[in-house]
Amino acid sequence: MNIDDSRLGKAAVVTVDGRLDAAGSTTFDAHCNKLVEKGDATLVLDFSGLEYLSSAGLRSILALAKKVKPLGGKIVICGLAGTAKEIFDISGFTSMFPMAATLEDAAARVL
Amino acid sequence: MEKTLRLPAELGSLEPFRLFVLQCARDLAVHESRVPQIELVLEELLTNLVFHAYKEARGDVELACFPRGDAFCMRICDWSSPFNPLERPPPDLSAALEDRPIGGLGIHLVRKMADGLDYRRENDQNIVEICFRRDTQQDNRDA
Repeated sequence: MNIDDSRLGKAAVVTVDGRLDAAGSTTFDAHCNKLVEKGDATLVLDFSGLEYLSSAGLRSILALAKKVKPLGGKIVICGLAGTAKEIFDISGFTSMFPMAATLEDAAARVL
Repeated sequence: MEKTLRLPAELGSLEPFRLFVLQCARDLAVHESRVPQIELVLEELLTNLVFHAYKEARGDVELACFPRGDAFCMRICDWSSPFNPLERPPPDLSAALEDRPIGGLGIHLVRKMADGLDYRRENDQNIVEICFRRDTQQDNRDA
């Protein structure tokens, strides 16, 4: 798994490529928690390069959303496709998070 | 045609188990569209075992892969105390973010992805058997 940071207006964009599984989710948690500690409450998770997602990843995403909500922030999910999208759907996450197809689309949701 | 791999029940064993299953799936001509689902079910059941069945205890897990008719099957055995992962209650998928508990989705995903799922306790072992049709995406998943 590879994680990269960028900015989209007031939001932090976290680009996750590869596998967000039991091993990857630990790295993902540490990375995102650091951003939140530094003051970011609105995060766009760019999953367009995500190849695999398990319940460990879902757990991390939900924990992160619960953390930023009281800070007035939110989590926007961007570019999710394939089996990872299917896993979001059957876990009821698609209706719980703002979903964006592209970063351009995500930009409109973080204003 | 059955192949088995036995390793300690710990997170470090996930990757060798995964590579083993990918090879077995290739050998048994499983359609590539099913492979991500097989991988997912394996990870969910193994992490469940490590965190919930063995907890602080140490022990092994044995994974077997074999064909059964049109299906590709995995059998996961462990020697922990009686523990049926399939008894876990289904999550409330309609709950709002604030009310959703963190965790508890793994077994839900297993139920949705597998075509056949069975637990039995035998000779002091927990045995979970999971089967997937080998051809393409299944179209009549359990609700």
